[in-house]
Amino acid sequence: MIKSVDMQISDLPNELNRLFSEGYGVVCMYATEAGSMPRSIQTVLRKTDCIIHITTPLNSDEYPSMSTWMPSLLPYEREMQEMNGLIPKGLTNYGPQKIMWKYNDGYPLQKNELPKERIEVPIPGNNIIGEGVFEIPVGPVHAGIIEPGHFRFSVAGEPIIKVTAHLGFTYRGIEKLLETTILKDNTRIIERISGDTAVANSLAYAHAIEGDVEVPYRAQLLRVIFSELERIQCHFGDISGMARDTGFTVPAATCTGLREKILRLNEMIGGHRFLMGTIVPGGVRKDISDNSLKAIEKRMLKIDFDLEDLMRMLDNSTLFTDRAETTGIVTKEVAEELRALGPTARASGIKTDIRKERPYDAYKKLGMRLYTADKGDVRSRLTVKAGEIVESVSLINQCLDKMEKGELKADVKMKDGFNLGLVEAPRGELMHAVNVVNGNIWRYKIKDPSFINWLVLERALPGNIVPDFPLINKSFNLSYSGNDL
Amino acid sequence: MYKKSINNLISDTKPCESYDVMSERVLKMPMADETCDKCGKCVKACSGHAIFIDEYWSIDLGKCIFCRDCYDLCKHITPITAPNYVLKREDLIFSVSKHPELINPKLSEKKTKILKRSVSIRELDTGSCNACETEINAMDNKYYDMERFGLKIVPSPRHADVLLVTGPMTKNMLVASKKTYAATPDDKLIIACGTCAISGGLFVKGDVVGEGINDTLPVDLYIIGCPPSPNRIIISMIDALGLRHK
Repeated sequence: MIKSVDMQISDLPNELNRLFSEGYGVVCMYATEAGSMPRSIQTVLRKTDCIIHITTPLNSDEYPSMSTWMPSLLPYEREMQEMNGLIPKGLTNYGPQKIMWKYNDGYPLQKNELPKERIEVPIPGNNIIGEGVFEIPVGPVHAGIIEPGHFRFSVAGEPIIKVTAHLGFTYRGIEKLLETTILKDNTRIIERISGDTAVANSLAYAHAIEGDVEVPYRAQLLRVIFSELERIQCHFGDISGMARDTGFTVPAATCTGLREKILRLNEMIGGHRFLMGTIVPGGVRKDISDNSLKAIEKRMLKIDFDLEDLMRMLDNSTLFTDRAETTGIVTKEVAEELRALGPTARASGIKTDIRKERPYDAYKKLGMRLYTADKGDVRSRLTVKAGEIVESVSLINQCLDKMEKGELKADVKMKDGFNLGLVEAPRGELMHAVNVVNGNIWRYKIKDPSFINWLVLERALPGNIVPDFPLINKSFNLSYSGNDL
Repeated sequence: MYKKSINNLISDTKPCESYDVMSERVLKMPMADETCDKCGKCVKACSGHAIFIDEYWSIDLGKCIFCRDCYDLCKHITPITAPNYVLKREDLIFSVSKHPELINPKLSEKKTKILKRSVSIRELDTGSCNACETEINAMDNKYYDMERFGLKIVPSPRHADVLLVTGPMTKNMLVASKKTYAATPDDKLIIACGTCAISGGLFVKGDVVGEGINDTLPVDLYIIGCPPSPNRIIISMIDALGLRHK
């Protein structure tokens, strides 16, 4: 249920303050450009399954900054400043967020043609000066096989004092592309926002386009199976990374093997190793045969055993425990303050999961347990992720039990107005919001959970030593391309 | 405890796949048959704008994202085996009259002279969606185990013989990519891995430089796929660099 409210900009801070004290948290805040609809700030707030959507028309480029008293709004204000040219009055803390340059007279999301001339924005330093304090620049090309991002570590000896992540190297202008694209179906671009969460992204897109249309039951079950398979392969990748970064190669190699098995299963049932092209607005694209269902069942049976062995190996290793425990702690206060998402938040003791709070598709009819931990360190995130694999297996098995023959696709038509797709991606709450005017997409906003969790990572690092950075980074497993778009 | 755990985990004997097993799993590409009436429906539906019709029904595999939409649309379009890689960008265009020849061409002697039987690879992401990265990471797992063919990922471009480039070359990555290229010792090979790197893919109208990375870096080898599966990346490198016969 989405409650839409119109509000003047002068009332917005007070209203947000009231809603935050009632327990609402911000899902996303973004700006729409003038044209078919007035220039405005759109705010989406959520408290369990209640969603409030506030539209605030704007008359000038300036508005009072709210992140000064509500830190969870900071990334959105920085993004609006950069992408839409809106200036938050009173905010001084912004550097390059997604783009490493700026236009003389314009901004990347403006509706008329973009100006050609651009000025490079130098990456700012951390400005921490003192005896024995060094600044280590890292990236954008890293030693491992990961995406590009630039980090500035301020260190005094080994311990980190401050880290700033400067991302935006994979900025491809997807939001702009989705506004201007002439294709009928945007699913292909949506799937390539972040390759390893292709299903979650296309599912959020499908929900945003569908609105209230009821998807056939078989399609709902298949959607859950695809989402959970993706979650399993993503989490196996994380566990493997964590084990490898502590130098514990046997479980790491096992995990990559298990991930490969899931990827091959994906290829068998969906025709693609990352299940791209399986979900379309209105349902799923292709049915999967009974043989494939049997293959899934067989694989799920084995995963439980494999995971148990793997976790026993990690639990009994003092080498691993020494590195993982009390490393990269995200306290509950920090997680609540920045509104951390996904396994990161659950490892700090926050019970948040869209599958449980605002169930979509077949999740309404499935039972699931929420895995949480309370320490907020690398070990907690590992146990939460391992627990989620077990839960995913159980969800898939429930779906297989309930599977029945039936339709695969309902007819959908894009409705005018505001529509929202909210799903639980492997990394956390993923939102796609679309403003449709006269059947055309006027503004498409994607909020990947990584966009918030990068800030949480910056808060988790100080006090740890530099060699622990890869381990902590891997335990968060954030997407660079999902953040940059 | 460990022994039992390890025994349980390594349950399948010899998961490592040989060259022949790996080369059996091929990529399928769409191709129209001779009875195609050139109605143009597939051209409009193609997300990557890969299909075009001039004299014959033609497809540019550098732009194809292998979404399989065209198969559902038209009964004239059927899957055929696609090549793993090509050496020139223009070799990626196939038509009804020019089906792919699966001959696995070798790079010239001059280019592969410095490589003996070991190849050090540096991966360079120029804005990909991390599916290619996941696949390149998977080349290291127990099924593919690329090190037995002499392929090795190195942490710095200074150690590398080969730059394996993914992504459509975003404007933000341009400077860093050029610097990485300059930092790699000479007689280097540049491999464009995946549709984005070959032609810019779906992001060609976005915030990227040119059409694919060959507008910025001199590409020697194009590996087809979106993303290319690990076995085909390995096979392409073995074949093109001639690692088997050295």
